[in-house]
Amino acid sequence: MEIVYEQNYNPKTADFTPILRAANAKKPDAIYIASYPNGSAGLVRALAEVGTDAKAVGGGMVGLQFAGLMAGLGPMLNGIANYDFFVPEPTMNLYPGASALIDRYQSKVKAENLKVDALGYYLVPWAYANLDILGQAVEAVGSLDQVAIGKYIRDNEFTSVVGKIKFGKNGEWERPRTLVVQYQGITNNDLQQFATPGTRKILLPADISTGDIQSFNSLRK
Amino acid sequence: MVELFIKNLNAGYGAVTVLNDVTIDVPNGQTVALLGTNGNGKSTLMRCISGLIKPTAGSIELHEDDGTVIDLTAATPQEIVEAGVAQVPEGRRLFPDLTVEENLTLGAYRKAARATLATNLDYAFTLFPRLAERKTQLAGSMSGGEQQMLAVGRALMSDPRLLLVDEPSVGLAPILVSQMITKIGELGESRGLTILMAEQNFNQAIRIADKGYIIVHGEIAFASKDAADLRENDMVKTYYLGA
Amino acid sequence: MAIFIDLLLNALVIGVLLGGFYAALSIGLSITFGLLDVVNIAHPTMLVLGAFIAFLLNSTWGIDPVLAGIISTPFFFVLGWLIYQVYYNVFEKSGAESLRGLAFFFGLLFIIEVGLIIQFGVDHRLVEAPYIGQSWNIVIGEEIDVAIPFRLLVAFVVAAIATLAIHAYLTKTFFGRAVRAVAQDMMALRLMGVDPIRVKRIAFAMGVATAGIGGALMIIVLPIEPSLGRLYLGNVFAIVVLGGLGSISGTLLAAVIIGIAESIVATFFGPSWAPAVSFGILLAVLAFRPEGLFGKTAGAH
Repeated sequence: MEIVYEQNYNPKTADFTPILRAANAKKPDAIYIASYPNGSAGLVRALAEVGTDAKAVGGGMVGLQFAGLMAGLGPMLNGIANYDFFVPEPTMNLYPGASALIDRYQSKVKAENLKVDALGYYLVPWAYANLDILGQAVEAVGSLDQVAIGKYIRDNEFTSVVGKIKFGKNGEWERPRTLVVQYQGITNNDLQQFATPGTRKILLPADISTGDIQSFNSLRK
Repeated sequence: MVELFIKNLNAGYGAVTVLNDVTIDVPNGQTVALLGTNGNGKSTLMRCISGLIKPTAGSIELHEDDGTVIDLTAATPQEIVEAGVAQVPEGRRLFPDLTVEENLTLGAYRKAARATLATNLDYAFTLFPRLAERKTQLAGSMSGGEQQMLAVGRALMSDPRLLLVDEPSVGLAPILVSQMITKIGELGESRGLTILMAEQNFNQAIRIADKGYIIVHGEIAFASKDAADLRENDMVKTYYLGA
Repeated sequence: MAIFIDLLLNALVIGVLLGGFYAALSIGLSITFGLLDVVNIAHPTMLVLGAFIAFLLNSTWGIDPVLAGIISTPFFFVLGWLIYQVYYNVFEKSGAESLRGLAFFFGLLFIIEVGLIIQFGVDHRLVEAPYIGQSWNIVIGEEIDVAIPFRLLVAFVVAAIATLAIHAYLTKTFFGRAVRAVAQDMMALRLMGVDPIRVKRIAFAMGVATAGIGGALMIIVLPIEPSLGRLYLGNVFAIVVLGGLGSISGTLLAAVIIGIAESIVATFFGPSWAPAVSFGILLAVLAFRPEGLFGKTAGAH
């Protein structure tokens, strides 16, 4: 694989069209973007304004999973392939309790008018599982001894709202659970469409995928 | 048509009293000299008349022809300008980063003067043709003499009835001092202006004055009866030479 | 070669538009800091407040963000009026404005920011308008076409109109001239029959009022969140100083110069260098012209 353009940008960048134009001039097949929320939104807008001939665009764009940005960007997201943690696709129902948790979260946010992410798919299930696993370990060990708790977490498999979790030797998940999703079929800026299946098809991991990757431009317009 | 009466005025800064029982009369159409060396209270009196300092006792009044009395003692500086009193302050106090024309225009801020802005601007340029040549130049970049012309021109832009001129000679070469004093004297005559001029250059000031006062340590030490008295009275020479 | 010309033309066009946007962020500070000597470091955060108000009006009633900015401008005028009243009575009147005044605006910055977090949360917000995400493509030649993003064009046009209007007001009206004179000599201004405190209060309110329309342009151009103001603090001060303190037209031109420089650098040398270049220009200019590009320094004050 040949890298034709690689640049860093500053968090203060107000407009990303010059960056995208410079990248497009190198005629890339794919554009991998690692960005924080401001940059992610700026680049998505630049993609809408300038366009690209690259076949795949996206990667590690933080922020596109946030309810506020998804609603704000709307159809401009179509075609982008990006990492995610949890989306309302049918295959995610493998995980017992996840849907119930999301339902509880969303109705609480709405009822109490909380100033947090309105949908909660991105971080809520994993954050819940985090504490759930810690709680299970504390109960099993029967004390707050950190070394013992750590050993228990490393040695055992857990069941939580995100399914069965086991950690590998390096401390990461034994079986990767980070999703790659592709935005498609988004027609307007309504937030609720992101709460229904189909707007973010799961490409990876293969065992729970709900769609195949399509070229960036085939999903635009 | 206006006459300035200051009666038994006391004023100062905080606890320090500068003016003590000052009584002055500036009759309509006359040029009155307020003489005294540095630090005797001339500028303090000027600031009192313009309302920048509030007197602690006494009164400042403008008397009009028809008998109307305008009490300036407690008036704000804005009200005093609106009443037709303009001042050419000591040290000129121009707006250095504005152009000559902008400085002049600001002089016409008073509502009554805005309508006659163009006429007054022409007048200032006729009075001091130098200002016309330099009208787009920044005031702060001009020579001392030109700055003094601008300061006088700016005060005239408000169409005043009473003009206060504080130390017009300070920082000027002797030849320019003489020209400036002559100009102020002509102003009084050509425009019928009532003028109170504070000056430490006795010889120059008494050339144009219709009468004069000498102020020493904040008190009026001598009041002349008329122009001749001011020029010839030995008291004046004593105070001038003694100072 | 065609690719080079294409990139250059686009970089120039985007640079000019971006400059207009920067001018909208800086113009209020050019009045409060440049003309009145009031170091309002809360200005960028007030812009973010303006952006959130535009967001609120847009997301609740679907009001166009530019219109929302125009609607909120009088609110900011009143806010500026009140802030100056406090600033004057507590600090300026007693001559304690230099350091404690700075602390006052620093505090104001955080109060606004925390208030926004409490009210809106820390999420990024965008507005919806038909022109956002669209661009106007002008085909110039084979492989050469200029794309003008509407969101930047709208920001540029509104910023240019606002800047020129403020410039005209300050140079052509009696009150405007008094605003430009007030930091130079308050006593002399009193002798002209002007109340300098009233002049400063109204002018400060005008400067803050620009946060209404400027904030609306901000959320049109980029997503906003409560702490965004601090990110742009350095840039807006750099533009005001580069243009020359007290020069409104200088601020606009400096903003365009910075916009073009950033856009050219981002296109040809790498975007991470863009901010370094803006501050490099500032340093280079200040080395040769301490008064800034269009500043006037006849007097010593």
